[in-house]
Amino acid sequence: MNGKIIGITSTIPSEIIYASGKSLCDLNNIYITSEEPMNYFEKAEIAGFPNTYCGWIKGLYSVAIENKISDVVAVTQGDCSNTEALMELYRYSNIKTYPFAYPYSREKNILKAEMDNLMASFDVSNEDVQKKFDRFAEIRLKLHKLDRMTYETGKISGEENHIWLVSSSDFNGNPDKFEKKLDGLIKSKEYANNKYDSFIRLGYIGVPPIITDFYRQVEQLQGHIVFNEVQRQFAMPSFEKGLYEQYLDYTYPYDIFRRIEDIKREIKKREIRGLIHYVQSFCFRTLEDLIIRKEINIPILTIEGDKPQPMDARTKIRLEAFTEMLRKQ
Amino acid sequence: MKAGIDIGSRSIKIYYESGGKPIRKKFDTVRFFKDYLHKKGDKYDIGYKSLFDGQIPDILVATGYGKLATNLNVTKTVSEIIAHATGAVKFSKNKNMTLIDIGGQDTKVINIEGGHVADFYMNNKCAAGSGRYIENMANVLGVSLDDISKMRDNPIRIDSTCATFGESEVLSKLFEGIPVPEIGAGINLAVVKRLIPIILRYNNENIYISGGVAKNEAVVRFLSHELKKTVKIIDFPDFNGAYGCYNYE
Repeated sequence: MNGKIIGITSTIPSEIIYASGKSLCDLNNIYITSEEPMNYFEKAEIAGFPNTYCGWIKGLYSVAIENKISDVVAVTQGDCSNTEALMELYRYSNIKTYPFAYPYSREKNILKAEMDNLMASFDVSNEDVQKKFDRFAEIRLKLHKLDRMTYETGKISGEENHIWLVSSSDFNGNPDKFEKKLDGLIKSKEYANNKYDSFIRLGYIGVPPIITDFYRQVEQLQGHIVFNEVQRQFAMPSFEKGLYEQYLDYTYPYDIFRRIEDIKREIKKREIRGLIHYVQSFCFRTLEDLIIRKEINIPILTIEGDKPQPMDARTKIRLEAFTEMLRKQ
Repeated sequence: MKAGIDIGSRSIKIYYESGGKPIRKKFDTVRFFKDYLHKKGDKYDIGYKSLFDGQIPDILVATGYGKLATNLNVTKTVSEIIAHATGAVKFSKNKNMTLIDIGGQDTKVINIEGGHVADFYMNNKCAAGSGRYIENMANVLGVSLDDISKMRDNPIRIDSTCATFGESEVLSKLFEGIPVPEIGAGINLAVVKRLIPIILRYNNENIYISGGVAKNEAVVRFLSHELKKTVKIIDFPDFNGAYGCYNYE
C-alpha cells in the first residue's frame, strides 16, 4: 500500500488500520462535512453517474478522487451493494482497494476470516490489533457516556450526539485528538441545563442523513433526538465482549431483524415517542421500511433524502405535521 | 373575531364567521400575494381590512404550503395535517375516521382516532396523482375540470400519474383514437388506484374526503367502489383546512 491515509466507505474494524500505523478517513464524513458537499455530488454526475443513483455513493467517488486518496477499504457486503461497482471505478482510477465483507449469515468464523485477511493485507498481528481494541474501548466508553447525556439528562443535543457517534468510524483520523476533544465537550456540558425537557423525544433510525440541516430543523420544531440508531452502532455499543464479538454485535451490516430488536429496546429505555426513519433515495434499505412499520408500534415518519442540501419545504411540512401530531396525542 | 386561512399552492381559502354566519372566501394564490400581502420588515402583513370586510381578526390561524414560505404575521400556524383533521372532526362530529385530502399538489391520508391524528401519509416531493395532475391532464384533453370530474364510464388503464410526464401517456391514448371520456375516466381512476394501498393501511370504517378533488364526482365514486365503502364528502371540501384553522384550539 502507498498512502498513509486509508479511506473507508463505511465502518470497518478500524483497530486493524490504526494498528498498522496508518491513519483512517471515512470518506462519508469528508463528504458531508465539507463546505460545499454539492460540489462532490455534481462532480460525480459530470463523471457520468446517473441522477437516479445514491447521493452517498456519488460523494464517496468524488471525495476519493478529488482528495487523491490512494488506498480505500471498501465494504462490499453489509453496507451497500453499489460499493462493488464503486470499487471498480476506484481501481480504474488507480486507487488501491481492499474489499471487506460483513457476512450476511453473521457467522463468526466467516467474519473472523475477513478480519484476519484485512490484518494480513495491512501486515499487522492479532496482538497489535488487540492493543488498539483495548485503547479504543476507553474512547468508546466515553462515547457511551455522551450518548447517555443525550437521553438521560438532555445535556447533549441530538446533533452533537449524531456528530460524535458517526465520527467514531474513523475517530477523525486521530483517536488521541478525538478523545481529547470529546473529554473537553463532556466536561463543558457536565453542569449544563436540560434544555430539552419540554421537547418531544424522538428516535432517528436508518443511515445518517444527507440533509445538511436535519438536526437543526428537528430542534426548531422542539424535537429532541435521543437516539441515533446507526450512528450509535458505529460507536460499537457492545465493545466489552471482545474484538470479533464487537463486530458481530454491530447490527447495521446484518439483517433488519436484529436492528429491530435493538430499536425496540432503545425506544423503551429512552422513552421515545416517535421515530424518524431516514431512507436514502434509490437505496435498497427503503424496502426495510415495510418491516419496520409492521414491527414497531410507535408513530414513524419516513423521510427521504437525495442530495447534500438543506431540508426541502415538503419534508419540513411533513416533519412539522409529525411533531405536532405527537404533541397532540 | 377569529379567522382561519389555508395558503395552498393553487388557491388561498379563508373562513370566518360574521353575525353567526359562515363566510368563505377563495383567491388564486398568485393574485392573493399581489393584491393582499405587504412586506413589513422581514414579515408579510395581510391587508386585513379589505379581506375581512373592514375587520381585523384578533386570532388568525394559518396553514398550508405558503405559511412557512411567507413568514406571515399570524397568531399561530398549524400543519396541514392537524388543520384538516380538526376541520373534518368538527364537521363530521366523528372522532374516528380516515380522511383523504387531495389538494393542488398535496395528497394526504390521515388516520384519526379519538379525535386525534394517529398517523398520516403525505406525498413526498412529487405532485403525482394530485389536483394539479388532473388539471394538467384536463388541459391536454381540452376539457374543463368540471367536465373531467364527470367522466367515470369505461375507464382505460393509465399508468403514469405524474403531473408532468402523464401528458405523453394521455396524448398517446388520444392518438390511438380512444374517446376523450374514457381517457378522462382513466385519469380519475388512476388517481384513486394510487391511493388505495395507503388508505387500506388504516382499515377504518369511516372514510371522508376533502380538498378540491373531493368535488370530482368520478374520483369519489371510484374511491367508494374500490374501497367497497361509502366515501363521505366534507361540505365545502376545499375550505376544510381553513375551517380547521378556525376551529383550532
